[in-house]
Amino acid sequence: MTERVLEVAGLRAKYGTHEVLQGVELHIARGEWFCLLGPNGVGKSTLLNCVTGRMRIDSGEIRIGSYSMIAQPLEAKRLLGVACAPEQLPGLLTGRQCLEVYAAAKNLRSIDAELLEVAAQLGFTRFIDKCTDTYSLGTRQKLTVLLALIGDPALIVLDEAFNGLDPASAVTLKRLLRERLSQARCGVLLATHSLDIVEHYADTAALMLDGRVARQWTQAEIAELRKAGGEGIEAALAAASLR
Amino acid sequence: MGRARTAAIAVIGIVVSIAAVGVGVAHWSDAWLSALHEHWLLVLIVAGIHSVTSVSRSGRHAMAAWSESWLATAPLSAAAVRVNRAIDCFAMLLLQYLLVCLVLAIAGIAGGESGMILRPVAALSAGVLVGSAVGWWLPESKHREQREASRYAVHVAAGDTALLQPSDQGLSHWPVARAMSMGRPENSRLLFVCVALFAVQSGASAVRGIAILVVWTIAGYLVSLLSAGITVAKEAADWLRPTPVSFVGFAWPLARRALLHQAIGTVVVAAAVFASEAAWLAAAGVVVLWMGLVMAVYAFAASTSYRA
Repeated sequence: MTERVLEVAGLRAKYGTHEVLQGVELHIARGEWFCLLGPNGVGKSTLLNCVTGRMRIDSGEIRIGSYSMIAQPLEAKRLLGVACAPEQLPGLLTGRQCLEVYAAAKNLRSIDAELLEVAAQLGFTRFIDKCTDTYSLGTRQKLTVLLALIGDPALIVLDEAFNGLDPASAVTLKRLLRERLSQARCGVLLATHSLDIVEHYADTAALMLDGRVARQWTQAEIAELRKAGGEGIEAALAAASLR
Repeated sequence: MGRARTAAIAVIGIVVSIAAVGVGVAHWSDAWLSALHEHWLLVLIVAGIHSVTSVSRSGRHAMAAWSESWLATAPLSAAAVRVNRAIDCFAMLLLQYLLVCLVLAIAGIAGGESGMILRPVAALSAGVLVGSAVGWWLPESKHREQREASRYAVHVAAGDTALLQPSDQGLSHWPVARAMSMGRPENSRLLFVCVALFAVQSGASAVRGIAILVVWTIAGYLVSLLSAGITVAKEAADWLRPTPVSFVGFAWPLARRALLHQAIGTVVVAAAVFASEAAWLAAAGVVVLWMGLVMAVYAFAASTSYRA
């Protein structure tokens, strides 16, 4: 059996009295690209916040690798790489400082050369010594992705990480993730509205509705929809949403 | 006809105002002018600080306004744009300078001591001249092209990533950067002027007036730094929450540099308090009380923000 890098079971979470997540179940294997789809406000970002430890859960279990996010958060977070929302970057720090602080927070001895190469490929290097406040949305996205990749994490969590990226950088990032997945170095959880990514890169896609996973498509099912052409995936999503 | 009447009313208004100022200052112009005459160094420093902060602030606003102006894409020469910015930067300061000179002249004439105004006016002029030049240069020196170039263009500049190493220095720098961004000098420049004038009016010497200014400046920075420590602790904790950072690894770097700044600043303030003939015990008490408060606030902010 392929090693699971993320396992979510019976996850419930609420803001005040409003229960946003109502028993979410999903799992991601090492080498799997998992896309989370769904309309605005159904709980995608809340789910990611719970998985990354930003938000307390009410019940259920989240396991990253073999560690429980609730009982062993520090061990679980050592396996985690998260691309935060671009607006959460500290505006008064430079890109270099952000990378250095994140690496120190992950208790790393050094920042690997591969990450620096990715930074160069994304065209980020020349902005590295400027404050993140001065960055465009795309440049911020690049930095958040680089932060997520620090320390070669087993689970990479991305929330709309391709928004604002120029086409060349987006392709570079997709290829990079695909390469890491093919080497079974990690699993990827991506919340997105981009069906292009689902169609060409995802191994599994899940539709969230009303705080739970309403429908899931395997890689074979996605391939079938792609072959069908036309509005294959869009139509399938619309049909599942109306159920 | 309408314009002529308006102009006549304006001229009468100015004359009446000048007369009112003359009558008003005549009673105390002697003491006032002799204080300014004696404290010319303070006048120079205050005028310099006010000019630097006013001109640099106007310069930054003018640059920001120009970048958003509908004329930004018009084929105007760089010289024309600079002249426009210069008018924006210097017009208000020039008006203030002329007004102060006018009041000094009226006070000198009303008090029959016109010779006494030369030194304050010279100090004022020197302060405004030097301060304006520095204030004009400051935004220019920071003005850089910060837009992202096309990904398809050839990149000519690149940051040096060879020295990229894990480090918590950025976390230590964060509260200081926040305090500096909150307490820009131009935000409190009027306070400086008021403190300096009150110090002189209450009979303080020029040295003591400057010492009071220094204490106010440092005290303002220390309070800003304390407040920044609280807000940054929350923001940093949110940002670093998905990482396995320990409490000590989070709290100590966050407070380290801020505590050092607080300690140095508090000692300087205490030294100034001690120099102004206060008992050394009172000066030491200031240090202990403030540092105790600072450590308690930082510890509370870090512990309430951090969550593993």
